[in-house]
Amino acid sequence: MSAARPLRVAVVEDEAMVRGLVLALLGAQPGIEVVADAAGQSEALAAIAPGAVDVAVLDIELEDGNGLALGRALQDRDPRVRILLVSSHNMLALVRSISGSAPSAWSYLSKRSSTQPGRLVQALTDMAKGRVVIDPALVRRSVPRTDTPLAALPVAQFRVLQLVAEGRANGAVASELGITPKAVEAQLTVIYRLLDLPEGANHRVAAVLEFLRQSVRPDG
Amino acid sequence: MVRDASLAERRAVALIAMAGIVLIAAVPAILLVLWAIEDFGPVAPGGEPMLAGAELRRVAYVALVLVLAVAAASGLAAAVLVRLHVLAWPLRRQAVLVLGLSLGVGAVRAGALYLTLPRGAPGPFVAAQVTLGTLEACFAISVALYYVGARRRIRAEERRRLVETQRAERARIEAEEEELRVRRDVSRQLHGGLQQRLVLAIREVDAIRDELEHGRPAGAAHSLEALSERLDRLRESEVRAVAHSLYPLAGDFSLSTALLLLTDRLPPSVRMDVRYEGVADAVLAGYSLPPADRVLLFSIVEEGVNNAMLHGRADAVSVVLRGEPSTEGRSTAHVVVDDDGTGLTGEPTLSGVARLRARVRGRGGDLTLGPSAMGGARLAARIPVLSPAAEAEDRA
Repeated sequence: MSAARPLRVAVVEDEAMVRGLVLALLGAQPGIEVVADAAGQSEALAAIAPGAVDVAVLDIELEDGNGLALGRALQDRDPRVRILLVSSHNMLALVRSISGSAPSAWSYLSKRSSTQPGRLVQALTDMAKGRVVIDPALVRRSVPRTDTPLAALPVAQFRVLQLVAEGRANGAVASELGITPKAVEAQLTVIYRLLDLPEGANHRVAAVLEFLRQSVRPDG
Repeated sequence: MVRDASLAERRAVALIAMAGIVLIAAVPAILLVLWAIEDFGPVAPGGEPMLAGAELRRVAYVALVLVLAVAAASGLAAAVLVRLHVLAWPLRRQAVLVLGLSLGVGAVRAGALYLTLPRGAPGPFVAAQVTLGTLEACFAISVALYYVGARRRIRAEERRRLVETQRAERARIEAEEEELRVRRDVSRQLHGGLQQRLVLAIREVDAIRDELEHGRPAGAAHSLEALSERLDRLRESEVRAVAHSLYPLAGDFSLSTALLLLTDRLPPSVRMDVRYEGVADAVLAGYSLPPADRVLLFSIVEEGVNNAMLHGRADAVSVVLRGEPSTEGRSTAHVVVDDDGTGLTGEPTLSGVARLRARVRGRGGDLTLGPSAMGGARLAARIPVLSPAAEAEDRA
């Protein structure tokens, strides 16, 4: 991806107020260009030409259909488009189940995060670099399931994995935890081994999906 | 296509059966001709039987053999077409009974005639009488049996319709009660939970304004952060609860998706396995089920899982969904929720289960709560569901 070209984004959201808010905060952002916006599934499929969009921000609840079906349809037409799913309720389990078979793993933000300028722009930038982004608030609320490799992970490594799941690069993880990027890399190697990740997969993405699979986010 | 073929087949059977009946009816006629020739046959003026009589007799015998052969062949053809083995046993027994009775009646009738005639009747006459009597009795008994059968079918149909009407009525009442319950729940949630929390939030806003007025921006910022967090929790849990009371999750998503979302909200110590069997994977788990069926199946699983955790303190829950295809686009969905908790203690008076049972029965299904092989409770239900016939047939 050349540095000169802006990130092309599509926004699909049925609530006009929220859509307006997201469009306004992305419009003010250098390096990001909103090339399409829509309120529903059929409108989005008509507005988003294959190859014209790098990241599609999709609300789960739409006027017609839902963000899941729309995301699948968009990736069927153009496997390179990355999907950022947005929902007002915790629908993280959907992202996990879809990402297994999708051309690229989906990212997820709660509606609260998606309307905060910093969070949304950060998520889009991280996604543009090929990372998966999971809402930080939900990542922090995640509790490992009993009797899983994730539950056996030492606290320090669990924290590293949480930050990776939020879409942070190694450098950002390192500065957040006050350790060197080299140490982060070493931790990740251990994490990949402990989580018993499938051969040949993109380990960073696979580790995030395993993190989601082996944890729950209880209510309250 | 299939229906056309069976219609053509039925027409062929009717034609062949009619031909058989006509042919069999011809048998006594020929026999009577034979008898007439032998006893009162054309006699030449001189008293000697005419040659024509002997020829006529030969012709009659040949005709008799031919008619019997053709009748037997057509009977065989009809039997092959009807495929006697597919006839149910009671129907076959009935056919044997009718034939036996008719033969008896024919024999009695011939015997009586034989005895009342002044001199011993010749063979062809007796045979003709037996055949005629059998045919008459066969006809009479068949008509009687058909009449009785038709009456029984009509009564059964009336009973079935009555049961159907009663069930529809029950289902309508259940639906009304369910709607009222949901309204009451939503109203309570709005009044009890949401309103109280909003009142508290307003008080916090007032407090923040006071802090700002008294020149304490740092405290105000801190309070605002806390308020924002609380409002988000309110939106996430309370508003979601109200929304899902009004329209359950499974209404918007496929059953498998809704169950996945349910799994994600369980406490970390609870393991939940979901298995799909039979046509369940494609039909039950997919979007092809009508929303009402999806919602009911989801509610049953949700109830089973909630009971397992709240009453049974279970660590493991097993959910099995099984679909059974049946005729005319109707399938049966089986759902079984097992847990390893403490199980049922005494007579359970779970209002949730009772409500669900009423809903399931209203749809012509059944729901039971009993002990599970896993050690805890087992909630099992069977529900007739509408599914696209093509899909059910493809996998049958």
